[in-house]
Amino acid sequence: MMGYVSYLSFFLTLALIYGIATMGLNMQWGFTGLFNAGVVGFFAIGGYAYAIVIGPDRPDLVGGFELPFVIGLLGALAFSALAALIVGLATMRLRSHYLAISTFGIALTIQLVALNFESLTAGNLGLIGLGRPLEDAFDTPLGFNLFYLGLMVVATLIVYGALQLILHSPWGRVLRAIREDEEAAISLGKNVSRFRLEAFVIGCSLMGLAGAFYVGSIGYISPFDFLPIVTFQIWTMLILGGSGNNRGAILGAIVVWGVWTSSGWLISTVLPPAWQVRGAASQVILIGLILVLTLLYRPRGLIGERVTVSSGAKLNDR
Amino acid sequence: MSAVLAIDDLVAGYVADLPIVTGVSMTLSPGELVTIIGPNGAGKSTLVKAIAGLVMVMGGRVRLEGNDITGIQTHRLPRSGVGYVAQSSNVFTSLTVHENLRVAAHTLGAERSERLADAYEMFPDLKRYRDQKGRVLSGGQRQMLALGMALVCRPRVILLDEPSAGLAPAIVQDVFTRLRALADSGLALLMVEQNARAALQLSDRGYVMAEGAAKIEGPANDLLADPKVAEIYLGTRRAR
Amino acid sequence: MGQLIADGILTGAVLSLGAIGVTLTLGILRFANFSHSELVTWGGYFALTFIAFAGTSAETFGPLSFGWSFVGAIIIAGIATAGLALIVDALVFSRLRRRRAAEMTLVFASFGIALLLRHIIVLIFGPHAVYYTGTLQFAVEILPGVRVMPDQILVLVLTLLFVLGLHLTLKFSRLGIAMRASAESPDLARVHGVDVRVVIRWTWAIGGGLAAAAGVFYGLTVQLRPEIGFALLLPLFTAALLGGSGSVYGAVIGGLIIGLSESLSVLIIPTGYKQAVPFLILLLILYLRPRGLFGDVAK
Repeated sequence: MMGYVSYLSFFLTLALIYGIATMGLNMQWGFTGLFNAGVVGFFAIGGYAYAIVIGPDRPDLVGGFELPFVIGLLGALAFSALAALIVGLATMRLRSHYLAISTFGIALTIQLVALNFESLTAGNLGLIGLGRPLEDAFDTPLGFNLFYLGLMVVATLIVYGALQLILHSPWGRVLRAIREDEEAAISLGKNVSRFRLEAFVIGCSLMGLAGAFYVGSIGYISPFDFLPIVTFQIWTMLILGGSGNNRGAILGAIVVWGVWTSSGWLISTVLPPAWQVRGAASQVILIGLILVLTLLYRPRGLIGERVTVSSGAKLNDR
Repeated sequence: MSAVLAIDDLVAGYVADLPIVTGVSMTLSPGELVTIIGPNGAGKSTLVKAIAGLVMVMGGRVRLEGNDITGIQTHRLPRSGVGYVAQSSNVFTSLTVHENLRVAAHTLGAERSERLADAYEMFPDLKRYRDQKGRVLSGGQRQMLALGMALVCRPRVILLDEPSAGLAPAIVQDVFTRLRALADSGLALLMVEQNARAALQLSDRGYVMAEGAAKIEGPANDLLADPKVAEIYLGTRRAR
Repeated sequence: MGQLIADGILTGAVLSLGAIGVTLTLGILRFANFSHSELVTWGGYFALTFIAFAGTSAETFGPLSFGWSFVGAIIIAGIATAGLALIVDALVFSRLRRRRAAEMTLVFASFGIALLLRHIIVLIFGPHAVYYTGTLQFAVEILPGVRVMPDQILVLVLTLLFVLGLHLTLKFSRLGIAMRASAESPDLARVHGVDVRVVIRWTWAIGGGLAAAAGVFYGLTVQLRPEIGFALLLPLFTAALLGGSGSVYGAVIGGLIIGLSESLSVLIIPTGYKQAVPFLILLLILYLRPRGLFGDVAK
């Protein structure tokens, strides 16, 4: 029984972490129309920045400052924002596919750095023994899992609340105006690329934050936690949940992560070892199918944005 | 005089349930040059685009020599006998003059080279620029090329969407004179124009459109003389 | 150094074939097709399947590693991959176009399709690297210190022929001119009788066929793996954007530049970062010349 509770709380913890990253993506795609094809890159930057800031000092490695959890989170936010700025400044004035391919590129590059820059990241061995926040205060894994889940619930609520707040601020209204009718926004004297860049950086910082929470929950980091499939998973979470709606983003994260883990469990128990690799492939195919079918048959997702689009936006879509 | 093009109560627009043209009827006979004038937003351009199948038709009919071509697929226009000269970007700037004409001859078979030769004969200027890219042509040359392209498939009707837009006044006269000559050779031309006075002076008939409908119709000279038309559409309120 | 240049040109040739498809979709269908490089993988595996059924010919052409069955494999792979591209278009992209979905929705769908195509390969063929033949080839020294396989020379020659063929098609044929016209303005092309849907189908077929050639050549000179497409995605796009979207000649030059810089990069940066070279070039293009080298003459 306790095993189930422990497992369920761990499952929900990860789902909420992905939910935070999905809300970050929603800021970019759902509210601004920016296509980020490298979500996992920013997730990884956050994770590594956190690990390096809070990790124990290692004689053979750069970093390991043993700083507190919260400072680790701030480091994750700062570094993912910086990476977003580099890509954003190059692409925001250009047609949207430049951003798509550049973000894909930065994710790939970050993975290469994680694998090859061994004096910082320990390469494919990863950094272990990172220590989890207040871990020693709990006698059982269950206790820590429940605590961390609580922490994630609070973090999710804070991120959600903060996003709602800025989306309903004048800044958020300009953002929506840009998405619905860029020409009109320009003619009103709004610096469109600056607003886009800001939304892009905010979104990437949230992905970085999620990466830090992820590493915080498992206590180690390795390049293999940040494979390109993570980008697809987070995208599927957003599209299935309904882009343009942060509650949809959280719901999508829980549903897709549920589908992913349960199909993974099924494959590992049912299929013989020789078929495991093909089983994993079909797991990805399942995610891909959810994505494409949602796009084709339910473009608004499970709970998409309420229809507040003006006729101008409709015309743009045509 | 039997109409070559007959438009019956046409309703059209870009978005379903949001018609811009709200019920227009018109006729066009062989040898006629007919001009549609009206203020900005009256639906003039939308009307010719709807005839050409570039805009959604929601009601009414378009007949060409008795055949129903309502909401025709645009790429069938040349074969059905309709030439179309779009507003301003009406030649391919990245293609040479000759390649532009070859696109216009896309649906032709063996007669292609002969028709291209005809086009060069009609517009000798084009021959000199045969291998120049469309983008280097002057406004007037572009308009001649666009007209040449519309003529390659020997249409019975040509639709023109503001052929004078962006041209110098002297060139505008040149273009209009060409159009008059084409009408005199038996072609039917329907054009939308902002440059109302100059266009009407060379036209046989005219329509005044406003708010998506044809409000006034008559011989071009009558429209030019009509004080109401003059005040609203030809005078100071002419939107250019 | 000479060896690195020779290797770079060979990689560049394969990249060029793939980048042409990317640039054609960018120019004519007007979206960045993230699944294009998966067609490269599929092309390679289609050829593998054909060889598995037809068997490898006992006799090989002179110094080359293959015989007649391989020629059949290239042709079948080209046709099958073109067919696959058309099926994907009919099932997904054309539906989105009809709904007049935004450009980014198409990009996004292509993302999902890439995922599907790649993992269907794993599902059918497994994750391991495979080779077309077990025949061992001896490298020939063409210049002092520069050794190449006979197969590689053939790949280069065939690539040149394909590019030349496409160039002539685009320049002079009725279809080619219609393609260039549609790339500039689909509506104006329609007005003059071009059925743009047909042009789009040909675009897929040509892009798919050339992608298959790239896949077969890659499989012949390197190896076949399900991740080929994923690994090529960034180099292909960078080559296309470097050349200028819509420009076929640009894509070829772009492919060669990327191939050469990847190959020569090992002189200055650790081999582990080779894959990041296209990204660095991409960032440079975006900051310095977003139109690409030939972006102007492009369409």
